[in-house]
Amino acid sequence: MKDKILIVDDDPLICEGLTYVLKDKYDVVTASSGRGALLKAETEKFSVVLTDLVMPGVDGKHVLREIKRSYPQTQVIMITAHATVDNAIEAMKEGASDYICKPFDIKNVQKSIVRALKEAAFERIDYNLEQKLDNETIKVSISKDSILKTLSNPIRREAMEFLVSGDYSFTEILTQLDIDDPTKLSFHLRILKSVKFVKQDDYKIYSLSDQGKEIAKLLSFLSQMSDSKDAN
Amino acid sequence: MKNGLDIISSPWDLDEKTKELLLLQEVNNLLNSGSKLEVILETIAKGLTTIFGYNVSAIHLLNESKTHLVCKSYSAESNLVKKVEKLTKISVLNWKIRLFTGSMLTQLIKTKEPIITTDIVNLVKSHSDIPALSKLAGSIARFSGIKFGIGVPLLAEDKIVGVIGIGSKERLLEKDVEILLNFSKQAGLAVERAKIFEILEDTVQERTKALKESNEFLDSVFNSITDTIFIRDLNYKIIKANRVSEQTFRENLVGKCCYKVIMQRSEPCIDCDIDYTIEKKEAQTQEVYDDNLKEHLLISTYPIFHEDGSLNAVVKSIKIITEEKRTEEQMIRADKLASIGRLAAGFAHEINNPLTNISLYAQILHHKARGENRQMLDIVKSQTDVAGRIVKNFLKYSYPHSENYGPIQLNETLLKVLDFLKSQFRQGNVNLECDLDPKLRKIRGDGSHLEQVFVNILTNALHSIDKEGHLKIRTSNNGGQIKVAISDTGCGIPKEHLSKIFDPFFTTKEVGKGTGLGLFISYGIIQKHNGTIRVKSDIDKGTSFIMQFPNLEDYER
Repeated sequence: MKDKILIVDDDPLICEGLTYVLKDKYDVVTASSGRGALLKAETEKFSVVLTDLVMPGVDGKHVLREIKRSYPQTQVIMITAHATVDNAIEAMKEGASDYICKPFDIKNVQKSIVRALKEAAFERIDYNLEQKLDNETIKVSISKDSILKTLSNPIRREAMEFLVSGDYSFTEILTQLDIDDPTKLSFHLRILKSVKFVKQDDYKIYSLSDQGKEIAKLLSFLSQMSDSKDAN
Repeated sequence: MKNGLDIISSPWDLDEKTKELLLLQEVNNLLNSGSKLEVILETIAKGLTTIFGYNVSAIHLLNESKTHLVCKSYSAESNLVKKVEKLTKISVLNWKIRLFTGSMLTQLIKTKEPIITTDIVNLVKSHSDIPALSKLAGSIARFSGIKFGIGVPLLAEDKIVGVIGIGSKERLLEKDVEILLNFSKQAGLAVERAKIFEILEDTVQERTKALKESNEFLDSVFNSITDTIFIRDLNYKIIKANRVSEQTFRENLVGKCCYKVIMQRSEPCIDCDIDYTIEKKEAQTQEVYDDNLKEHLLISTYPIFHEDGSLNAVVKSIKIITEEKRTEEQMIRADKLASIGRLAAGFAHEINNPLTNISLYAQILHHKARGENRQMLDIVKSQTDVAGRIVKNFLKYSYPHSENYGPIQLNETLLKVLDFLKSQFRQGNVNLECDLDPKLRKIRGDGSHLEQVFVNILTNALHSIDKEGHLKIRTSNNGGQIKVAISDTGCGIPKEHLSKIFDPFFTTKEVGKGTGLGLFISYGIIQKHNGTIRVKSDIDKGTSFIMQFPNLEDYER
């Protein structure tokens, strides 16, 4: 069964264009306003919601909050003009899985949706991680909840996994993860730093902390699990 | 000068009335010539002994509180007073006679009736505070043979101001009392007038002193004013000038002709602002840029009027307002750039939506197209991306980003940028001088944004240097601010361009070589760091950019 995606934008051309691009892989539904989107979410269950941030009336942030409150499993991706990147970052803090800047490359949209779906998959199996965390005697300074929240984002997981292979600079990580927007990566790395999974030396080189290495071990185990589940 | 009294060789040749008139005339003369009270009293006392022929005379005035009579003048045989003073060690002048209740003199003051005594010793005794003294006085009186005495009130109109006393070896008669009473009435008036004169004089002196003090005060205020101020009369003469004006013109202006001393001209200036104020009788203020001083000046002229409304003089003040002017210009520029920024951001934002759609549909078509069409759609896509990047760059700095702010050491940032630009330095023959304060405090900022600022300014500086030149970078702690100055010896910026260099899309480079966004973006970044940037430039001499940022501690406070 195809994953169901809701596209919310007050510009019908965006809705139509994105539908055309995504319809082969996904079951695409559109809404031309925030209110309309919330009404549709009441009757249908979406895997991913792509919503414009700035809209008259109910805006993207409102849509995000409502969706995350009523349907926590649904992933939300914000679409924004550059001017509102700050708001997009705010939105990420409130639970959006990603943001895309206008004008965008179609392949970046597709990549972002794939990541969001991975995140959803990860959240579905977080039960395993929880158990693992309970069983393992790793010394972590933060709560289980925070670990799960931190690791739910695929970019952060990818960054952790990449750092297992060595210490890298910001640009190297950016290139490896193929991320279109440096601000986005910097946001995620900061989160990883704040929970002390990742540290940065005087030359601004990133590496895993001791606790980060433990978490990375767990991750490799879990991503195998999640991949095998995806394959199923 | 000969005193009128001296010409009388033998007083006994004259009759009493003439003697009285003679003395009074003398007193009046003294009064009219403005003589002091003590001189008048002395004349009276002396006249009583020399003209009237009494052995002793003394004039006592009532003190303020009317408790004592104070001896203000006396006349007596030459060594009598000396003897008394030697024995008592007390000066007869200002000798105080206490007015005991019920004493004869107290009675005299009260009733204004004269007293006549045949026992002057007793009278003195009964009015002395010191018993020994009264005893002594008594013995002197006895020794000198003076026994008889008269005391008459010294009256000014009806007011008693003192007592005239005389002592005599010979018995005194009612006739003497009468003469003295008559005389004392006239003398009292004279004394009172002299007293008033004296008070007046004191008042005048006090007022003069106060006036002098107030003048001195105003002078020091005038001199403490930090602007150049001088006052010119209607005939081009400077009548007053403050200390700063002396420093400004390196000369004391007072008393000199304004156009000669200030302008070094032989004739009045045609456009004289003081003359304008004289003609219009009104104040005027104007802002002027002085090319020689290289300062902006605020010049004001104010008319000063006489009481009758006619013009007296004109005050001119010259205030250097370059700093204020610069602040004002900076504010205007900030305001202008903010509006341009808002406008442009609005445009960019509006363009972004159609751009997104062009890009999206071009990509969709690209996917479907083949061959030539596909190549052409590639161009559409890449050109849309170029437009998108311009918009992106523009919006990036038009809206505040603060997610990457942290402590920044600007020396490090500058060294990093210099390292990045080193190939460009090698190309030209540019002599680089770095004066980086090793104790430079940190600021709060975004390193990559600040790098961009320095890259922009240093690149411009390098471009401004044609063949060879000097580039100086200096950092310093300046109070609560961190200062970065970047100066070049390049071609300089024309004055008419100076106000525009921070405007977006302003460029003097060839089309396609510069976007005209560099300094605009730098300006926006510095603003976001709560910093300031200003520029000084002289054609063919070079340009300096001076940036200031609040230091970290101040920022966090």
